[in-house]
Amino acid sequence: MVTPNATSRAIIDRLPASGERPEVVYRYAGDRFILLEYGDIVLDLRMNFRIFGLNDAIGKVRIPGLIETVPALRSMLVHYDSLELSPRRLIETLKELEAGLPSVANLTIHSRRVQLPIAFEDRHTRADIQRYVKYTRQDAPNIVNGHNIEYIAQYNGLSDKNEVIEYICATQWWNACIGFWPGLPFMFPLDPRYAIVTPKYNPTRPWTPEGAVGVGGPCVAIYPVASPGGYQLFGRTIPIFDLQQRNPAFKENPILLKAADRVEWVAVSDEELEDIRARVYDGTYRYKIVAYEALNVRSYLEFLDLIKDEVAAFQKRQSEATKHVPVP
Amino acid sequence: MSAALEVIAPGLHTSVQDLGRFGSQRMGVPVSGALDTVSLRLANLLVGNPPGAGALEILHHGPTLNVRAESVRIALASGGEVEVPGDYRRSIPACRSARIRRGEIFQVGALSRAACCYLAVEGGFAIAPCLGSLSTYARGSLGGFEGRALREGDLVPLALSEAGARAELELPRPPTGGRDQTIRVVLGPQHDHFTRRSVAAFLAADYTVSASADRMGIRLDGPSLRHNHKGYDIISDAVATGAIQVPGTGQPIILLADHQTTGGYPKIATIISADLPIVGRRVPGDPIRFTAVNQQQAEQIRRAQEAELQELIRAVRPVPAGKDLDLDSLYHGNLISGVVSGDD
Repeated sequence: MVTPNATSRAIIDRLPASGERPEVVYRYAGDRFILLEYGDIVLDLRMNFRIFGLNDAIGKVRIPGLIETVPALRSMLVHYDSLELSPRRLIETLKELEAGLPSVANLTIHSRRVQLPIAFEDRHTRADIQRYVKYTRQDAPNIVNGHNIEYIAQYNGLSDKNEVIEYICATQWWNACIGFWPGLPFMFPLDPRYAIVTPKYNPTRPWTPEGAVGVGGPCVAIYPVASPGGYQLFGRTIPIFDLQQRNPAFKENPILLKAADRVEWVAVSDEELEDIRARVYDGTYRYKIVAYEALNVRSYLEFLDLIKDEVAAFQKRQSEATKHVPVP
Repeated sequence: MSAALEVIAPGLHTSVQDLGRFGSQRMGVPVSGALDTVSLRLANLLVGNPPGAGALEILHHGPTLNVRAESVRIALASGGEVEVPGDYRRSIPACRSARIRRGEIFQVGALSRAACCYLAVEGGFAIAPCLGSLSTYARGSLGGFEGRALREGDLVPLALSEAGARAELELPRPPTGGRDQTIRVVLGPQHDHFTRRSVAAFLAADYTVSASADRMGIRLDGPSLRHNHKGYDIISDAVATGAIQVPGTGQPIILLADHQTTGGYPKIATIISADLPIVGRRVPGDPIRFTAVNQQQAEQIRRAQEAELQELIRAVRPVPAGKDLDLDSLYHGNLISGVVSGDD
C-alpha cells in the first residue's frame, strides 16, 4: 500500500475559469465515480443551469462505459464502469464537452411548467404541527397560532401570512435537483424578489404529511411521502409520488417532477384540495403540465438585471427583520 | 395455484435484491441492491441464473420457507446453511445447489460469520421490476416484493414451477475476504475539508462497526475526526456508494446500498469497489481499519478480484456422488448407498 501522501490530492484535474465559464473541478469519489463541481461553494442558479447544459451534452454523445450521471445543485456525480472506461479518458471527454458547451447565458434548458394546486395552512400540516407542539417542543418560536406560516412572515419582514401566500404564488419555482427521497424536489424561486428564507426546525419534526410544502434555508420542498422533516411548512399540494400509479400522470414513472421543471402554485381552499386529491387517486384529475417549454437563460439574466434594485430592497427588509426574530 | 415460496417465518430482514437500480438516482431513488454483490452472483451462478438475477438477501437471521411448487432448486452464498427438517432431514451447506420438493419446509438460521447471505432460486422470482430493477428499497416502499422485507404469510412467486433436470453444483471454496481484512479506500472526494491530522488519524485508527448498521450505512465507533476551516456543511451533492461521510459530530458513517442519493456533509474517503462486498458482510462489533490506495491501484485490485472470481466460477463442479442427497435417489431405492455408506 502507498502512503497517504501519494494519494492525497483531493482535486485530480481542473479547468480554470475562462470568460463566462466558471472553474471546473474534478475529484475522485472512489474508483468508479468522478465528482465534477462548478464555481465557488455558493448557491448560484447559473451553476445549476450549466449542470443541466452539461448533462444534456453528455446525453447526446455515446460514452462507452458510462453508467449514469447524477446532477445536483452545482455538481454532478458521474458513475462509470472502470473495467471499460478509464477516469483519464472520461475526464478528457468531459473537458471536451465543456469546451463545446455554450456560455451559461446562451443556454436554453428544456423545462416543463407544472401547475400545482396548494391549500395554504391546510388541516393536515396543521395537525402535524400541533402534534409537534404537544409531543416535541411546546415553546417552538417557529410555530405561531398553530402553524409556521406567520413565522415565515416575521422572519422575512412580510406584513402577514397573506403576504407570504402572495410571495409564494408570485414566482415560478425552479426544481434545481431531486434528492434526499425519491421524487423530492429542491426548488428555488426564479424571481428573487420573492426569495423567502427560513431556518429549519430544531429539533426535527417527527411527522410531516405526504404532499406538505415547506421552506428551509432558501429552498422549497414538497414531501413525496409522510416522513420526518425540518422545513417550515406553509401548505399542502397533490401527490407527486405514487408507486401505485393511480393517475395517468404516474403511468410512465411513479415520480412526477423532473429536475429543471418549473412549478407554479395555484392557491385553492382546503376543501378544494381534498376534492382534487380524491380525483387524483380515482384517476380523473389531469395534472397541468406544459411539456414543451424552455428556460432561455439570456432572457432570464436580463430579467434579473432589470429587477436587481427591487431584489436588493427586499433583501434589506428581510435582513432587518431577521435580526429581531428568534431562531428555533 | 402458481408456484411460490411461502414465508413461514421471515427472518430478521429478508428482501429481494439484485445488482442495483441504476439510472434513477437523478430522481432521488437510491441504487439499493445486494450489500455483497459477489455472493449474490455466486448464488445465482449455482442455480444457473444470470449473475444479476434477483435473489433473497438475508440479514443476520434467515427465513423459514415452504415450497409451494413441484420443486425448487436453491443455493445459498457465501455463508449460512440451509436446514431441511421433516422426513428427509438434511442440511445443505453454503455454495452448493440443491433441490427441495413440494411441501418441504426449509430454513436458514442465524448467520455466524457475516451480516448477509443470498438465497437464489433457479429461474428467479416472478416479480415485475420497478424502475428497471428487482431490488427492494424498503424505506421508500419501492421494488422487490411489495416494496418491503418479507413477512409471515407472504407467497413470493417463483418463475419456475419445477427445478430443471441437471446435476447439482458446488463451489470448491467460498470467495476470499475475511473479517479482519483491512479495507482499502480512495481518499476524497472532500478530504480537503479535514485537518491533515484527522486524515492521518482516520487511516491509523481501529474503528468498530457500531450497532447502528443497516442497508443504508454503518456508523463507526472510534476516533472522531475534525473538519478544517472549510467546515462540515457543503452544498448537497450526489453521493457514491461506499462514501465515508463525516457529519459535525466527527463520527464517520459508511454509506451502503440504500444510502440517500444526495448528502450535505464532506466525504473523507470512498471504499474501493472491490472491498464493498467485504464491508457489506461485516457485523456490529467487527473491527474496521482503513488504508489508502490511489484510483489506479483500486482499479487493479478490482481487475484482480474479478479474475479471481472468474477462476472460482470456472472451478464450479458437479456435487460429487454421495454428497448429493436428493429425494429422487431416495425415492428410487438408492437410499442405502446414498445415506448409509455416504462418504461424508
